[in-house]
Amino acid sequence: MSTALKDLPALEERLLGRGIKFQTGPFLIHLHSDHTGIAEQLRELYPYAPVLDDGDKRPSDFTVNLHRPRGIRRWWRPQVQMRTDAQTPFLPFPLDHAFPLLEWSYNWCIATQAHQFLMLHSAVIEKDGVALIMPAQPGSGKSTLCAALMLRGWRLLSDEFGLLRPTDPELRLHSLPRPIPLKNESIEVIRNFSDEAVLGPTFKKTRKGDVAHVMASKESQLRGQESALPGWFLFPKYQAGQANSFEKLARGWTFLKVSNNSFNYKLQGARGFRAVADLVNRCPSYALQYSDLNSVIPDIEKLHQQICSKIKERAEP
Amino acid sequence: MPIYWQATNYTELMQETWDEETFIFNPASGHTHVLNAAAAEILAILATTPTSTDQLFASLSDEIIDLDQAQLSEALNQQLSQLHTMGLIQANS
Repeated sequence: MSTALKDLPALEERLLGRGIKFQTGPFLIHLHSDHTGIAEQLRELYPYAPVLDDGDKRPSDFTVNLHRPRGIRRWWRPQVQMRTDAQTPFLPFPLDHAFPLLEWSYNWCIATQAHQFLMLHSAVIEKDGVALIMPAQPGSGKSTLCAALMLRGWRLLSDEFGLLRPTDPELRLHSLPRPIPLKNESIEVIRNFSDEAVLGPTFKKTRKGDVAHVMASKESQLRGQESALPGWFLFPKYQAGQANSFEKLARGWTFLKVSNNSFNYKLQGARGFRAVADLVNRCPSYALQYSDLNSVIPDIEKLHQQICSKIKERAEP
Repeated sequence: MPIYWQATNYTELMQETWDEETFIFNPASGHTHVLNAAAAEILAILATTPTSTDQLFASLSDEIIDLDQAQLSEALNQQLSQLHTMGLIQANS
């Protein structure tokens, strides 16, 4: 049994005590914190995440402890540190950056431990049961486009991880509905794009610039256990003043980009090669240049519909 | 004694060809390689039987007509050297 995080009583006390175990997609995370200020951001950005009831003894996938270091830093320019399984992989963050630290810690835990999955470094977003995979390219505007599609009714699987089991014949993409981190100018772009965007606080001057998180839509969070068929790849590139243009990409180029962008392609060995090659064989791949979210989304949806129709045709006997 | 080349573990390799490029995963090294069409063809020849550089030259010179003999010889030696460095072929004398 579980309770939605937003409805959980005494969250602060629980974080200080035994901690909470909450589920996002396939992962159960056990979070402790002596910085109870993080509770407000958890309620705001993970409101529908199921939190296990106290009697549920299921083992967690990751344990994260956010704690305030002792000594002078507890009082002077206070800091927060992350510990997991007796490791402290990051230097301390300023205390008011505890939520970004939690998110980066969660990413770190997944990327270094969840090798039951082939982990593509990609945003993945779904409509009509078919996933659009957008591999990460720094500065490409991938997260902005991903957030905009979600705010137009697509279901967010993940902004960061394309998770698939390499032994799954369908290579289905798994959901990991977590907040989307927006950086710098993207924050205002999305704030102005939709009144429905639920944005957390803006964290100024983090290691990645100013960062604010968009809550994964309610539907995305509630359907966190539903996977999607792989549909197509899109490599978006925001280019000011550029008209929308799609260019079909070669499979070989796509293979190199996707495998090089994966968190654990090399570690997966032969099954990683087979999975990426099969994915590339099934999924057409496009480069997109765009400058306007409102006009590009209908174009993406049109292409998506064509790809969905082809998948349906292939599936019919 | 001429050097005979042969593929090291051809049957274990995983391959995928798109357009003119062949992507090869070698489970012995854990590396993924991208071969052009010529290198992939040389590797396929060396998978069937150990072959000397001269025999390879003779077999390829009929097919590759846009290079003169010196250019073909240089290109062949370069391809063999690269395949050897990748660990996909070995030399037996």
